[in-house]
Amino acid sequence: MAAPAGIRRVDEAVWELPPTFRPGMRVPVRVFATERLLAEMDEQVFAQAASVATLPGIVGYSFAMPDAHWGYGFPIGGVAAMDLETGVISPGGIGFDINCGMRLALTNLTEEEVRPRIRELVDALFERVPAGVGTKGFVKLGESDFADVLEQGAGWCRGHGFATEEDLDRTEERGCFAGADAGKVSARALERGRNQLGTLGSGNHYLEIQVARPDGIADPALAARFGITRPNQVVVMFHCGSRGFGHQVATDYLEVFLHAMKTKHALAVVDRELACAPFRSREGQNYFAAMKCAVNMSFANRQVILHRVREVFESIFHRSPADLGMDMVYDVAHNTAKLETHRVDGARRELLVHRKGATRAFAPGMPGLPAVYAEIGQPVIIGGSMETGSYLLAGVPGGAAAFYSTAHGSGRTMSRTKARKQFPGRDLERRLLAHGIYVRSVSYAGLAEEAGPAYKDIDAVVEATEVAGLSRRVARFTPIGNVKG
Amino acid sequence: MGLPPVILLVLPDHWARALLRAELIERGYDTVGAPDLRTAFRFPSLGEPRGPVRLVVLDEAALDGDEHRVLDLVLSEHGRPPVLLLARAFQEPSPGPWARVVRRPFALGELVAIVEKMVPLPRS
Repeated sequence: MAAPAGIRRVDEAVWELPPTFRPGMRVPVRVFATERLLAEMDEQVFAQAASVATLPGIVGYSFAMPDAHWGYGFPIGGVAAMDLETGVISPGGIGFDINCGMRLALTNLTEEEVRPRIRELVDALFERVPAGVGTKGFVKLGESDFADVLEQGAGWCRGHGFATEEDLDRTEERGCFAGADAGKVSARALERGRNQLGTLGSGNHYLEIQVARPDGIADPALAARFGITRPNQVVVMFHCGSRGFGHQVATDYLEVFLHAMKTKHALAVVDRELACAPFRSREGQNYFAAMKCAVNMSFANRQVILHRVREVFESIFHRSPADLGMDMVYDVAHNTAKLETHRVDGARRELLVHRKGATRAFAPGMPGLPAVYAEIGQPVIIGGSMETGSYLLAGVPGGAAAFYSTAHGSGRTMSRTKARKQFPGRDLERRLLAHGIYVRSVSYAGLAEEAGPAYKDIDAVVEATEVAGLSRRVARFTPIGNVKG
Repeated sequence: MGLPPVILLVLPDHWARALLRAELIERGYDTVGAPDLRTAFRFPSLGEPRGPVRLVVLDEAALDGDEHRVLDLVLSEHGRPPVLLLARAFQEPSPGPWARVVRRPFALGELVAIVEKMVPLPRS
């Protein structure tokens, strides 16, 4: 792994590939990374980010975040904003797991109170929040109910007793992208998604019981504003998305786009994985409406999971979720395309911002933040590997340099296959237990894929986002229990 | 619109640098930055297709340790662009080839307005 020869350092943790790096680039590539992370970065990241820079209508830069790694078309950890009139929308810039995202909830329990019951707690969560490929949830929906979920997102959960008003307030876009249209979704996608609400899925998805230890609090005042107020406070973090539904939406529209690019739009791209359509075209708008359905399904999914988590805590600790202080900190997506207004060349412009494996990180005072965070900036939830820990960050004004985006996690350093070979699941389970982390997983193979060394150093990733001025550290969380999808 | 004017930011505080960078990029400038003059001399070597550095924004703290000689090298490397010095609040600014001196405290908007005056953006 090595950065390409043409890369230039333009600040401590900011690097640039100029448009002369490869033919057809319309804008430069900007990579946010420390020297070490840059050296460790998969060389495909640079090639893919440069390919993204060739897409019609791209504005400013093609960005790669510090956790960037090779993905489908766009790098995971890629950000690209498109002009609405001349630009394109690309499923490869959003990912197959549309609105894969993170949710963080508080408790007022401490590690000392939870650790004696961690097995009981994790076992109950494992049972109540189904994990694994193709699993079904406890919410049984008819076709029209599911269409409501797709168009209302977490708002549907509010109407069905799975969410509080405060939960919605603390979810990006209140858990619903407006303009979702279930009529733009295939029957196959509807069928795949209908019974998947409240399920974790597989791959790198997880639900974790974590502790905010005093030495992990980077900014005590800010942490307190986010609800982290006591030593060794226990929090719940989980990572999942739109399950098979989002995957099917992406698959369906990739085919539509590949066909329309040739037959209708005369659109050539340097890599077929960058299949796209003009944003204003019928295909582009249909995908956008279908993608929003997957975004909303995912918000609803995480909301139902939180409901189940609260039920489990209530049953184990014999106190109500309110009494346990199980408020949400935030829910934020890291695989979406959104219309946002940003300042470009001094003028405010509405842009379509693709974030794939990248988190929106709005600065204090920006519209769209709930009142509770208006003065302190958007919470950003960064999931690490199950062995290392995770972070809560906050958006900062410097984020404007990347359309207010930051990293989303550790970023893989090796393939799942290689990880399975290198880290036998049983050994990993034992090692985790020896480190005080109790894990329940659907399979040992799946567990092995998520071993700590298969990921970049989360501390280094977070440090890079700070040095690059994209987000700031609030707290680091240490896992003590994990349900692995 | 041609190439955006390049501003070189030399400020030890990475938050201040990031903030100024974001603000200037939003307005249509290009920036390169460094925490100190030695780093500025080493890494932001510019070439095609970027334009030349049109202004250096220099935090006076970056001159600590008698870095005037390094400053001279940096300026020489970039064709001697003007320097906007961000001076300390309660001391006389150290002597140097300053095109303009702004004393702390200042508002970000105020600083950016000065940059815009010193290096006007090309109009499309």
